Amino acid sequence: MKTLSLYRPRDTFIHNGLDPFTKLIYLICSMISAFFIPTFSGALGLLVINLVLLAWAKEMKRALKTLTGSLLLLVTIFVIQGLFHPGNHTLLFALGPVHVYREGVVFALTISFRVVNIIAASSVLILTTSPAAIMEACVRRGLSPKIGYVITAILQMIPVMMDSASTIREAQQSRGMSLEGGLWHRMRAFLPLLGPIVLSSFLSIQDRAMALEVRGFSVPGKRSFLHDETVLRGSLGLRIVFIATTLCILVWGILA
Amino acid sequence: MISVNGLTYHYPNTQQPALQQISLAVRHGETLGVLGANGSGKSTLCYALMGLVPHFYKGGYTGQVTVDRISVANSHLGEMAQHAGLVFQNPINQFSGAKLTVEDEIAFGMENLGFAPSVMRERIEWVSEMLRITQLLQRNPYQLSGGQMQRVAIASVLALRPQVLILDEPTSQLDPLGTSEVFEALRSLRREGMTTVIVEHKAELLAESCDRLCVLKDAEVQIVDSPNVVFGHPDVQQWGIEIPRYSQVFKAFVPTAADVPATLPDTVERLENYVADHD
Repeated sequence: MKTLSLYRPRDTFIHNGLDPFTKLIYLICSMISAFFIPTFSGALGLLVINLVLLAWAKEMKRALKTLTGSLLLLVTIFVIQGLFHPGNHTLLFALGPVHVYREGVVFALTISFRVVNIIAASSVLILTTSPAAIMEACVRRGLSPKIGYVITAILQMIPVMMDSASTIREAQQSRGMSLEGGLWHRMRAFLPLLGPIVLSSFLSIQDRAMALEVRGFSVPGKRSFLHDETVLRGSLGLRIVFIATTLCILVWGILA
Repeated sequence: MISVNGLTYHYPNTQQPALQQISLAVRHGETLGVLGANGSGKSTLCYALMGLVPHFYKGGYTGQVTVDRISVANSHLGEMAQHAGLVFQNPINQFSGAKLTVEDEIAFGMENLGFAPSVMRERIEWVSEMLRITQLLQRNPYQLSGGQMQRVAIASVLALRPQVLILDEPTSQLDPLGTSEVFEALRSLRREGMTTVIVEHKAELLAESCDRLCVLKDAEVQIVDSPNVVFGHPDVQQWGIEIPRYSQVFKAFVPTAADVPATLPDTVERLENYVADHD
């Protein structure tokens, strides 16, 4: 049974040396910075940092796949903004009746840098840290265990539910239900599947709720953790540097 | 260790009692098997012993249930978790769903109750050795076989060191290999002196593993006695329970016997004696 997570364990400093909370702070700081950095060279610098971290984590290939996935969105931004940005007045080039303006292209470039930086910074966290570790780090710092549980359990349980849905579908198919054919036919064939899938999910949820209760899930009081949190020496300093740099970028962005 | 006095319960929005005037007692270290047809109230009895009835399932509740000297109706479920543990039918549904390794899954309940990490490690080692899952500790609980999953589920409950273990059809979704793994684990718990209540349909396995059997029919207790007496009872067919093959063979030879053997070695011995007496 797979987990709905992009994390793959590797033996790198980014995976195991940096603690999840520091990486989470880095992600938040990178996202804020991506929005407020006022120059292209600054945005390019942030992208280089993100790519260096991904290369260090040996996750460049998978991160580039994710970035490639956003290519259609970026191209759309360039076309729409290049042609129709409200501030367009300096013609960059014309292809027959199609006029592309400088202001639109600059704006599209700004948006694209933001998107790419956010995807790259998210990849640094998501590709190198398990969701359970991220949530555990947050629960240790005061996040409600129930919220932490819900987020982690959803990622783990969706594949389990999909597996159960697939068993129900195969059972229905073995009794003659056809899921082949046109869209309308498939939609109609899908309806009889909904009942058993929803019902079995409700029953599973009830069982799981009872199983959680008998293992003290609702007991008030402080939780403990089996594993000690391995925090890199100086990680507090690192977090302060991230936050201070972000604040500087914020001020720079507002003043610029 | 367990005392049930005059327990009557019906689920919310129903008038039909799921349990009717149930009274029984289970001694410390005893293994009680519960048999009965579907809908006879077996699972509800498990929930009542664990406290899910009346804390999780409300409804009408009269009578008294005491487990390890704790009144179930007056205790929180979290408090009950350290006195009694419940293992459900489907091993997948009782995993937390939030842990990626067996070790972390076993620790889940202890983390909820704020146990110290050193205590958790000690208990994980103890329980995994007892249930022979030490080699599985770093595996994903969802990638195990059915029998392994159910042993991990039992370990997760036992790690809280309850005095009473309640199992609600723990092998109903398992293949024969998984079933024998679970019953082997239960036999080793019996040797350790754990007080256990097992709901099961597999009469032969229950006869081998239990000190006494309780038969439920239409929400009422019909009999609580040794397997030999239960399977030899003249009304046993009407209770809708399966009789072990060995008991059936013995009954064919000795139809008038008040108690019948329920395991292979007992049956062989009793038949040898019977043949010797009638030669």
